[in-house]
Amino acid sequence: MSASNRLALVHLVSGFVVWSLGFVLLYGLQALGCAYGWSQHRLWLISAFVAVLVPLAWLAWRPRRTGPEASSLATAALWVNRAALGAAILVFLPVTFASTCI
Amino acid sequence: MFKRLLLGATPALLGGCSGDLSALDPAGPRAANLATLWWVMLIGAAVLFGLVMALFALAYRRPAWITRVTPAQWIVGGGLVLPIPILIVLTGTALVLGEQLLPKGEAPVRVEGRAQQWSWHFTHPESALAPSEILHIPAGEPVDIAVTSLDVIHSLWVPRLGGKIDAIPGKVNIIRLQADEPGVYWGQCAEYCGEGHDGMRFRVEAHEPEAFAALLEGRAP
Ligand SMILES: [Cu+2]
Repeated sequence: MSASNRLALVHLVSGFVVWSLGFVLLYGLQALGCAYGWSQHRLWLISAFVAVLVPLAWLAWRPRRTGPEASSLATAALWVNRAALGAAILVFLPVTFASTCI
Repeated sequence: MFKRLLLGATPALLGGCSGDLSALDPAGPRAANLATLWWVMLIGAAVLFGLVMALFALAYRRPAWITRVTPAQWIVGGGLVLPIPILIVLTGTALVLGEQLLPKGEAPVRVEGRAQQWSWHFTHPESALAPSEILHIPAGEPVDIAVTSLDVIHSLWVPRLGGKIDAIPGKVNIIRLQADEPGVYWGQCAEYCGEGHDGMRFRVEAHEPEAFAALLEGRAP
């Protein structure tokens, strides 16, 4: 496997790996905040939400080679990462407004 | 013949929708929310299934129509345009209906519920009512139940009155239930807790508010 393909493979999985780390992070912060009664609970959740979006946005728009030399793997990686960004916005957005603790 | 078949199948189909432990036969606003969500999800799934089956049939009956669609159109149409609005509607519905189930503020009545293999014990603090295996609640009012467990994890569930909540040893979880009308409802432990789990049922009695007040004060209604 060529070096550029290997890199493309890493890019292919990075978006949803970041997404799943973000999911675990938000889930953990939500539970810990409720258990320990954090006063700035919402702020932590929103910060984590934004912190997860930054690498995902970079992956979705990062500068890349285009044209005929761009492999289909690289194109697939680009679109998977854009899907991961969209999925993060849609699925994680409720942490900014939904009820946290009961 | 067809009519007879249809008539025969209807009770079989609807049989699962009624009864003491049916979440599809709601008897209170919270259970109604959950039933609505269930229907929205069923309709969403049916619409998607119908669309896919229609395309499938088209591929057999009118292959020429299908070949006119380019691969890019399939990906954008089938992968984005079709599922995303449906997923947004489902997620939004679940969020709005789910928020309304949460016990916000204090409910007028609070009951303590303790689970122990394989029964439930309910107490009304500061009342003359003795601890009981029957959950007494007023009708037409939200009731908070503070649920805990004395041994393993159980789950309190009255399908016709609301959602379910885990009963966890050393922790108190609160669930809000509401019955519209006086009557008898049934609950069931909803978390497998050993061999007696399936028989871990409990009776819920919803009373007229005056009768409930009398019950709490220990006088005959
Ligand atoms: Cu149980």
